[in-house]
Amino acid sequence: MNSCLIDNLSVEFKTDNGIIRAIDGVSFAIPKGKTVGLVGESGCGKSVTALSIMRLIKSPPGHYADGRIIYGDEDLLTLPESNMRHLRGNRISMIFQEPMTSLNPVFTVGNQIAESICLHQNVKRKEGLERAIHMLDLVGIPSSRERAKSYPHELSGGMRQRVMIAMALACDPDLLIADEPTTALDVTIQAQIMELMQKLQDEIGMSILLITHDLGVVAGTCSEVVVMYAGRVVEKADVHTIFNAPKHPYTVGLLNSMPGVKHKEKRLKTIPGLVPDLLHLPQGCRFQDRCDHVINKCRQIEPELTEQAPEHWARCYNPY
Amino acid sequence: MLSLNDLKMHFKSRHHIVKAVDGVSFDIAEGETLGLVGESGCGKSTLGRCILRLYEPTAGKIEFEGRDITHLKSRQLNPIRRRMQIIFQDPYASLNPRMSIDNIIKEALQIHGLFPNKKEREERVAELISLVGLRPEVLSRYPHEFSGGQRQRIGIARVLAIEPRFIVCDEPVSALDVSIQAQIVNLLQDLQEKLKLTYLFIAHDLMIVKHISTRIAVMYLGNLAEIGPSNQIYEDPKHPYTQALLSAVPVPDPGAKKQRIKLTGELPSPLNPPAGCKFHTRCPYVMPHCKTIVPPLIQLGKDRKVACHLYP
Ligand SMILES: Nc1ncnc2c1ncn2[C@@H]1O[C@H](COP(=O)(O)OP(=O)(O)OP(=O)(O)O)[C@@H](O)[C@H]1O
Ligand SMILES: Nc1ncnc2c1ncn2[C@@H]1O[C@H](COP(=O)(O)OP(=O)(O)OP(=O)(O)O)[C@@H](O)[C@H]1O
Ligand SMILES: [Mg+2]
Ligand SMILES: [Mg+2]
Repeated sequence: MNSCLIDNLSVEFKTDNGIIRAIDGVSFAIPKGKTVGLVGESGCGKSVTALSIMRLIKSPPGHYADGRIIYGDEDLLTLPESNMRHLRGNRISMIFQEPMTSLNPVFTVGNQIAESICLHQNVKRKEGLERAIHMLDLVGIPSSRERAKSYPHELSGGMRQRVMIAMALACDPDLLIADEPTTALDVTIQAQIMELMQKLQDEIGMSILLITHDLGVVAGTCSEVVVMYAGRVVEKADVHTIFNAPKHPYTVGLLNSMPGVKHKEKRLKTIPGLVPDLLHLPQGCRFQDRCDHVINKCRQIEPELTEQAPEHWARCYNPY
Repeated sequence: MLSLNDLKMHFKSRHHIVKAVDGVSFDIAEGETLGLVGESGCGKSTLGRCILRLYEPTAGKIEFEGRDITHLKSRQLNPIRRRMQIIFQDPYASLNPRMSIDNIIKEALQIHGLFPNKKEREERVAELISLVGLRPEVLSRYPHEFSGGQRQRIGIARVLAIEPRFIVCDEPVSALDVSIQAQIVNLLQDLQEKLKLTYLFIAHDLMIVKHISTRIAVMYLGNLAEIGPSNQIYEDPKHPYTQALLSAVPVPDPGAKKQRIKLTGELPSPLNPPAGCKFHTRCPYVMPHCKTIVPPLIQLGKDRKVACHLYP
């Protein structure tokens, strides 16, 4: 069963230079109680996808050009804003990529978490604050009672990120959208946070969309992986298949760019070239200029996302 | 290039004092990369900001290129600011939202009187933006039109613009996907070779730190736990905190069995740090005297130092 289904979603932004389609026909499902990893080159549309599920794309300059986001038996894109507000931060919650931009600098972090709890859970202020402090404990912030009185700028980068996580998890969400939730955390705390999410998943069946570029985290926590490139889904499969038998040349390049665990090369492998400008997309495949598997056809017609093996989808004419 | 002696930075607020950096000493040689790792909140960014004199340290001494800069006034700092720069952890907060990318980078050049010729300045800006893997077409856009990782690269281009000698890189690549990460890391290394740049590289990704650093310093709650050549730290970590940290590195293999050393015990707070060794509340090897006596940073072998009662 699916918790959420993103179906042929396209989002456009109006800019001074023209309209860009930041994501184009994106489809994937988040199965109930599972974690789906969303990876891809910086700027490929991961955050736009995440913000769309929360319906937080600012319009203008953005708008939903096409597609549906099915949650329960409703399309989130057509839901009235008042219903959406009720879902947001309650049933569906999000950990944002840049904590500083989503925390309010003039309120203490304890008050901010408490406020979100009171808003959704119909509890008194005092109880909200107690729960906030408990959440700060859970995400590993020491002296939580004291720290609840801190303002965001008094905290380190990783502490702010954990405040965001505490806020997102405070209402036991049914669907969690986590956009780079652990980038500012050291590996021991990161492991602790991932365990906390997994525990909630086991206890309340929470489904997670996890956006991260840490492939180690993907390998350790996700059951399925969606790979995006320049606004398109280019590959999707279960986590073992993605790591052991990737088909799309971009996925292969991505996996090769990781610094080796054992041997030390002088230079890291990269994918040569630059991602195309969304305003000037090439004819054919969007990855053609950087691809080591390119054939003639790739320069003419963009490949469709096709099922190349059971449950293994790739957008490529000449896969690995 | 840089020498820190017993550097301290304490923040005072109404209710309490946070000893964010509490007596750190190390040297960085010219052309070297010192990796700085440690638990979130242990004082890495604060240390970086002190070095750049964005904060005035509470105590201790900072020498840069042989000169004591610990208490220089802001006017005296200006010429030095060109030689030392910081790539910030939070890119959004450091870019002016009302300026186009073009102007953001040009401003940096202008402040320091670089490339006064308009045409040369424009060429330089285009060159810088391609260096960090973005297309010159994007220069007319504004910060909010970019993704997190793209913004981080703009921040890096701005810092490289003024050709500093020493750069504090505060998690410069944590917002980037691995292929761009690799590009930026290669770029930083190329520049280092070409221009003999020196880096203090703060990061949580231990594989990246290992790759780029000549030496590594591990911090715990405001102090150094351990410092030494990077391959030695990775192959034979001495401090129990370093051992736990390395064991928690996520492995990019979905079939891998995890053998993480779980740190149990109470998480210490910088608001009220434990007596003795600050790690004793969570240390698997804790001994009675660890709770009362602070372990000094002692020499261990030729170029390693560790602060732990298990040694020598
Ligand atoms: N408000 C906006 N106006 C114009 N373009 C935008 C806007 N928001 C996003 N974009 C563009 O949409 C594309 C996708 O951005 P998005 O933030 O989703 O990337 P991402 O995959 O999350 O990248 P990262 O890993 O760097 O966070 C980018 O090319 C970006 O420039
Ligand atoms: N301006 C400030 N006012 C008060 N306290 C501060 C300030 N800046 C930092 N601190 C405190 O100093 C300590 C160290 O913070 P710092 O940002 O240096 O940590 P960090 O090691 O960079 O962590 P992270 O990995 O999470 O970025 C934290 O306890 C933080 O709350
Ligand atoms: Mg993003
Ligand atoms: Mg920091």
